[in-house]
Amino acid sequence: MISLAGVTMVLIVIAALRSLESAPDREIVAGVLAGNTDDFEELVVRYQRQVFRIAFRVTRDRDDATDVAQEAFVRAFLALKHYDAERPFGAWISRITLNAAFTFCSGRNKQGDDQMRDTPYEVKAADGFSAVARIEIETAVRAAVAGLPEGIRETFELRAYADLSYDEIAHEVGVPRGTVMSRLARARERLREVLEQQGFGRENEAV
Amino acid sequence: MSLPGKGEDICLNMRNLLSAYLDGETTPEETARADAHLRTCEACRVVLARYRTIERAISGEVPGSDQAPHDSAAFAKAVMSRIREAGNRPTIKARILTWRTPIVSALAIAATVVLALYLRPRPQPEPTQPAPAATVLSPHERQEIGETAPQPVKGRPRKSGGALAAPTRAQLAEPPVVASAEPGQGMGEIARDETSVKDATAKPARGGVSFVQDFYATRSAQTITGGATAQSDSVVLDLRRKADRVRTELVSAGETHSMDSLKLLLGDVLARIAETSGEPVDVRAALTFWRDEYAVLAKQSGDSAIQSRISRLEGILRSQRPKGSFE
Repeated sequence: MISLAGVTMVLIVIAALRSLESAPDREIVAGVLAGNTDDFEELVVRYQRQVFRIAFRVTRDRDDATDVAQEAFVRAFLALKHYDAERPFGAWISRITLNAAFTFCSGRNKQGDDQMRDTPYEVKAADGFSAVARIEIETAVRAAVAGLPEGIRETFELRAYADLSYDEIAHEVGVPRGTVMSRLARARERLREVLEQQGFGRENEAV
Repeated sequence: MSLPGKGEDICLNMRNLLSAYLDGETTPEETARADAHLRTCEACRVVLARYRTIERAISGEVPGSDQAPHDSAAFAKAVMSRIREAGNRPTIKARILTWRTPIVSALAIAATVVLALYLRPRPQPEPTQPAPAATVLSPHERQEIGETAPQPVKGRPRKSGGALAAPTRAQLAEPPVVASAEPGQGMGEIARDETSVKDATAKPARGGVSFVQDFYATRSAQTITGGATAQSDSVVLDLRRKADRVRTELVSAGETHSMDSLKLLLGDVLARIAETSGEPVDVRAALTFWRDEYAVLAKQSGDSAIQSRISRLEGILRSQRPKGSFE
């Protein structure tokens, strides 16, 4: 009798754990908002790769990316009551991460110099030529992105750094999907022009 | 390779589609249309290739650097402890305040009014008291998703793996001139020698011919010295020697005036270095070398695009960032 009760208890506990793991994001969010702060960890587990990847792409440094990713989750937690459960959580936290990462980089660059929003990173490449060429073109592209007009820049960043789909971006930014599409096209044409003016593209494409 | 191609209108209309095509966001019909156009249009193929280059520059994998936290369990724990420390208190408060906002505000106003009336003839120490409570409310209310006030950097506990502390970075951000302990030896001397060797072949730079040249004459020594090891000194020297040789060949073949041939030159030289030395090549040394080659090219061709690339490499070298080596 007692053992039966014990087994039932264990099953209930397992079921409870399972249900957290399989619960949709919005339920977890609701739980956290209701006071189950610890449940937030499940969201961290789910989205840490995505958040870290974005942070890394922007900062290009593992330690910085770790800091930024943590910061992004803390910000998300603090802003959780503003989260609209109709929107995908991944897109929402991606945008927070992007903002946190660029804020971080602008602080980092104030100590360094000028308009470059970020700088290259530690390199270990099999081929010296491609490593140097990559540092050069990446820095140029980042500077060019930073110079894009505000509206199209954010859309482009949500796509290029955060890999969001057109629908997700449309949702996040609050514009129709067609606008996302044309903004991205404009951004790319503009970047191409800027880079060609600087002599990129005159050489081989194999950079 | 002129851009855009012959059917300009068609191509310009195509650009919208190419961008979505690149993102895999086209319908099957659009994809087919883009494919068909790309088969026949060289100009648009080039455009697409450049879009890809831009894409790779941002989201391309960095070799040797997997884009995930090292220890995901530790990462999640670190986040949670930061949330408990930094986040919990304000949030609980914020939440209570949110629930109670109307009631608290109403009570506060009522209390103020009552106190104000009650204390009117006298000076008013009490009535001001509820006011701060009301002002505390509003920042929480206004916090927007994108603009959530960041936690103060100083106060936040760092993950043990999170290595570099902010102050360290601040110090590092200074130009690395400090490290040039022995100016007579090492890179400083070599770089200067090399600069003058190079200048001798092109044009004397010391006479203030141009700001850029002067800048390099003094700057290259400093920049390299900071981050450089003895190994990278000799690498730069070696690179320069080989570059000079290859450049002479290219000049005699009448080919130096293009970015294309420069890239070939650089690729060739760096590849040879990697082959022969067997040791890792210092990134800063390679970048310095690269920049100097651009400077030579700029003198020869007067291409303004090269100047902007030189400035960028200068910017990169000024930061402490590019570090490490390729093997």
